[in-house]
Amino acid sequence: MASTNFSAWSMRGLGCVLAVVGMTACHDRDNLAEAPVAKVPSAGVVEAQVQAAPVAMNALEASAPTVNIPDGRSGAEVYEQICAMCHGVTGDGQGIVPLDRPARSFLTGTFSFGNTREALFNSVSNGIGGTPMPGFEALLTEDERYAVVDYIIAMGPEREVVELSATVMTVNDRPLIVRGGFSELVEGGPIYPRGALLGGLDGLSFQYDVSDVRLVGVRQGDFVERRDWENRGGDTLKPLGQLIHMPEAKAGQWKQVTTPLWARLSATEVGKEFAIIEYDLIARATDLTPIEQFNFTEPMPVIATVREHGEAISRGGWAGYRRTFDVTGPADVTLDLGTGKVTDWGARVHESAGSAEVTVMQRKPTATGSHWTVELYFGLPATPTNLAALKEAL
Amino acid sequence: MLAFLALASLAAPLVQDSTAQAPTEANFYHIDYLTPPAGEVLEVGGMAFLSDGTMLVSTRRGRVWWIDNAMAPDPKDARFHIFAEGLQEGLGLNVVDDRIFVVQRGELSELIDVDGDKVCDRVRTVSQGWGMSGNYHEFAFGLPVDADGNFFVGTNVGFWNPEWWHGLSKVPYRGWILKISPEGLVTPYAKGVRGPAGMGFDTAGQLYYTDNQGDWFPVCGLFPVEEGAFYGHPASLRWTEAYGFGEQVPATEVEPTEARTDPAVWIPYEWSQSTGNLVADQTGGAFGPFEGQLFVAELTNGLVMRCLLEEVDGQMQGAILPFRHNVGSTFRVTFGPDGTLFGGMTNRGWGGLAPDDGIARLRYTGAIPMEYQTIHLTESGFDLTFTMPLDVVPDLASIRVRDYEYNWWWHYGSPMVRNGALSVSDAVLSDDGKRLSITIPELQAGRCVRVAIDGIGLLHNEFDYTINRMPGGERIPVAKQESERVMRGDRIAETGDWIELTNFVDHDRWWGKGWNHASADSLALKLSDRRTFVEAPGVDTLISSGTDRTDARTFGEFGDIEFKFKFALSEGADSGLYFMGRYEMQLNTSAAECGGIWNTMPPGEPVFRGPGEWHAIEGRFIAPRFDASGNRIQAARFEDVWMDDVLLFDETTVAGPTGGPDGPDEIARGVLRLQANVGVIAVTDMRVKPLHSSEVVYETEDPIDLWQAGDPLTQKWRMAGPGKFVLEDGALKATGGMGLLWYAGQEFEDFQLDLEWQATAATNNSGIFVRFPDPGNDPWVAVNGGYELQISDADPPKHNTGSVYSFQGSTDIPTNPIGEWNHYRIRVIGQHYHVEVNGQVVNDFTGDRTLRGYIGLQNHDDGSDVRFRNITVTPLGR
Repeated sequence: MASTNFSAWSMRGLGCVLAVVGMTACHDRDNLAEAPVAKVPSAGVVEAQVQAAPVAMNALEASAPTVNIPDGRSGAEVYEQICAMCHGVTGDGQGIVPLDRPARSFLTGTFSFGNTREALFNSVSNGIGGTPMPGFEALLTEDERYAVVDYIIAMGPEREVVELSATVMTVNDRPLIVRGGFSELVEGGPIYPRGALLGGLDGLSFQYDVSDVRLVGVRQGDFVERRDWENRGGDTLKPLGQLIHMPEAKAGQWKQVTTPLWARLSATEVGKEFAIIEYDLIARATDLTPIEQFNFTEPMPVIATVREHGEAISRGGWAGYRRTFDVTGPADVTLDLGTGKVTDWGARVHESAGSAEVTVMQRKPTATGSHWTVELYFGLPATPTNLAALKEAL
Repeated sequence: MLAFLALASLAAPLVQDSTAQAPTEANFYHIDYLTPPAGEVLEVGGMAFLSDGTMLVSTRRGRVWWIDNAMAPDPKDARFHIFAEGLQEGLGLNVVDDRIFVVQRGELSELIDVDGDKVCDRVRTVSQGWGMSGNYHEFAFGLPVDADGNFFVGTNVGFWNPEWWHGLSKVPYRGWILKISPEGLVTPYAKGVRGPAGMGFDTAGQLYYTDNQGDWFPVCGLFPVEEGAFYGHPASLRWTEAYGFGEQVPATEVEPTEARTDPAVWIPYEWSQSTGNLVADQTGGAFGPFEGQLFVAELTNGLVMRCLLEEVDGQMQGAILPFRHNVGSTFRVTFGPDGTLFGGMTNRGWGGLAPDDGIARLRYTGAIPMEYQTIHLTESGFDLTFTMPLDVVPDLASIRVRDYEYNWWWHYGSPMVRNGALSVSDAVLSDDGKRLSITIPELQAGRCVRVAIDGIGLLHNEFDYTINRMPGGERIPVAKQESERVMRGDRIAETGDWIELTNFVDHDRWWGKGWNHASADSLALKLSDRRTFVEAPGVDTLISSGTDRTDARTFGEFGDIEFKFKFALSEGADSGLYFMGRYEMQLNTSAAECGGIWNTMPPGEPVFRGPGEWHAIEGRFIAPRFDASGNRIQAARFEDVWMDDVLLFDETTVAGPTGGPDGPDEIARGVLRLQANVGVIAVTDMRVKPLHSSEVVYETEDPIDLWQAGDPLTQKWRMAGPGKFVLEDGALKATGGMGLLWYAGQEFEDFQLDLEWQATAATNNSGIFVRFPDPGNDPWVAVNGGYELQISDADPPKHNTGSVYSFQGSTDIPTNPIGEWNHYRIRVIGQHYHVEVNGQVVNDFTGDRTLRGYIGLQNHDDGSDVRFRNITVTPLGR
């Protein structure tokens, strides 16, 4: 319920207060800002700017770096007209306007809110609440704001930039696991702030939400690009493999008889052959409030523990992947595989758009619990011949 | 006679220090840097050592490096290999019994090398006991471990646009310090946290965390971590019982009532803007003469600071001062087994001094620096010891002391406020020359004190001590709640005389039954019944949520006004705002009507988006006009009315009172009236600006005598620049110059300054400066930062008596004959400078410089013997 429009009022006023010191055009600009004029530049203009930015990265090479923007003032012009009053012509923070706190010097490249382009754009646009720094969203176009941001960045020392090649992780001779957040898999779907991607030697990678250890996607291809190395952190990982399967949300729901069990991550492990994920199964209410989901003040009884890995398979013209579970715990712990019809040989078939997903589950008792495999084949139509071929291959 | 100082002279080099050959920090603490593998940008998040001396370093890129030979004489001999990678950040690392623990963004993990090849194979989850919304700023910092093996993790609040500086806690336990047992059980331990970038223990086992300046944190600080403590930021309170464990969202701009835990030290902004962690020196002297003291990482300014704490009547507090500059973007400090202080650096996106990343080593050279060794607050001042004895007692004038405090508020950081100089009345040196006891009679709790001693060869001559409590005295926080709550948009009020109608901190400007005061940030439609709101009590919103309701009316009456407000409606609500109690602006849930004038003018476009949404309306209302016999000659009208930046209608005349007026007659001034009809309306940020300034009423405080008879320098006056003021016939006489006698006791915002002056010749030149920043010893600060009301009868316009020097000339010079006393009255309100000489208004000036500052008198030159007396200031409130 935070306000949206009040800042526009105050910034408009403050922008003018500051601007009268050195800008004769304040009044006109103010009116301009109030007029319903489209200020959003085309995507192409922004793109051009992004590419232009590195040119001005080293201030030492040019005493007056400029980033020229079509149809707008350059960063240098904006800086001199607006910023220099407080931050000084040279960016040393020694402007002519007296402030209750010194304006930031741009010469060291240090900033309260970070030195990324986006962070500075934020400060230029929205100001910094409670400091003398006003927002200039109403006074400057987006182009001008980005231009002045680049100009300001160029005043500081050169910074090391994350090399794109360094951010790519590739599975070579041993499996890899990467932890991080993931964007939504489908438009409008959930994001996964706490995720893990398990990359196998066979080119498949298994994408989990590790807040409840749920397989949400299976990918084929390269492993991952670490975009969480960019900006301040917290950006999502970019899995590079093509998404070949998204298990249904309830497929993989563990239960004890009919009680749903929560899977709590206990470890991820890189074995010689497989990347492994381990978790505890815990009986926990499903309608928890947010804070109850994080109530970890008491130990929670563990019903069973599971060690799981995935791999690629192909049989009888079908291809897919297998998940193997080693469950330590009582025999009445089961895995719900979701929708589909059960064929005469114990598999589930789910048809859509002319092809089928065939899930074959096998469960064998062990000394401590059960050993499960769940194989998922897909790609062929569910004709009797195709299904028979698969059954035969198994 | 003053002129604008040219910009060039502002940039003139500083006066060279005559002790240029004095030892530097590098003589005592040598810095070198380990060499990471080529291509690796080592963004350090945590550092610790195995028992065999192996160093482990976690990075923001989710790697943990295994470093052999980290303490080798030549830093190039250190050997790096990757122990673990693919973690989700690693902003804290620790080693417990040679087991390696790291805090990832979403998990406390143990890193296990299963097969003994010095590469982690297994990441064991200890805890995921805090929420993540996916916001980029939701860092998890660590990782101290107490004697019982409990881990401590600090969780950053998230930042969302556009008011991104207001950190929010959208998921549980953001903005908390969490205590996590070795078994993974989580205790939400302390709250009110904003950006807990670093932690560390002192030698007594007390844990501290550092927070970063921002909203509710005036500057960075060092806080004792204690169970149940609250440090000041409201966001985390959402996950407490008082807020229904998540049901209600604390307001971002209202002071929480929870009792605050004070920091042991507030760190001045000039020294630290992004504080990292801290470590106690337990090297047994290997790191020099500061055993037991704390070393604190500072990223932005790239230095390591030194902190000396003590317990005063149960309250931890103490001093901080710079220790070693030019280290780089230091985020983490830790001691190696050999007494080397390692500095872990990172910069990406946070903005610190270069080097941006890597590992620095600070090594003691063995030479003893001249430094404060201990700093101890006494009942009357400080007992100071030094690393080397003093030869002489420092001159009292060489001990400079000032104190100040901070505002505790929602703004991003706070300036030092109520900043003034303190007198040192005595300084006594012990016989062995090691202990200096200084007496500062005005020392008081609830202040930070800056002490600087010149001329005794100190490597760092300034320290800053946070007095939460004087010995035997009460605890008073340094960061104080403003008595006048600062609202969004108040900067406009400062310049444009807006009257806030929904700021209920000090005033209720409305009367009526069934109206409550709420917090706008807390307001949301009730899910089970959208005809009502869920509301939390607050001070910024008027809401018709009571029973037995009547319309709400302002106490004040207004004529022509500019107005702005925001409102939200419950489902099906039908309300309105009556101007002058007569002309109704419709506020209901019909988009075709909302914002229009009842029966007169519908909104030009439908803007109303729906119940529960905030909408903002602004415009002007012009009252009707009447001739001398009371006949209306001009109808009331609205002008330029906007809703959410859409023009609803331009100039619109209202023929007469609309439905349900307070009276059928029309009047010149009237109340604003909010209708309590159907459903609930909430109104916030409502303000009006009368278009006639006479309607703004100022309240005055008691006059303050700035100078009583006697030496002004003993009365908080300070002399800046050449020349001086001497006492003569009960007055202050200016001699020499150009200098400035300024009152350092307090800054003033809106005030009336009265004084008398007497000139001895028409050519005398002097002046009174107002609203300038602390000038130190430089009178030009007042020239360039404040305004001067000139005294000089003979100079040309703009430079003569009554002028705002060089800005606006006086309309007349009604001074008395030379040798007689004259009276200056200078009334300063917002940007209006009203000037009277001998009772006659001679100037009315609108400025654009700062809205607060000091007051001072000029001694211009040797021939200008101008005298002053009866100097009083009457602060003006609003």
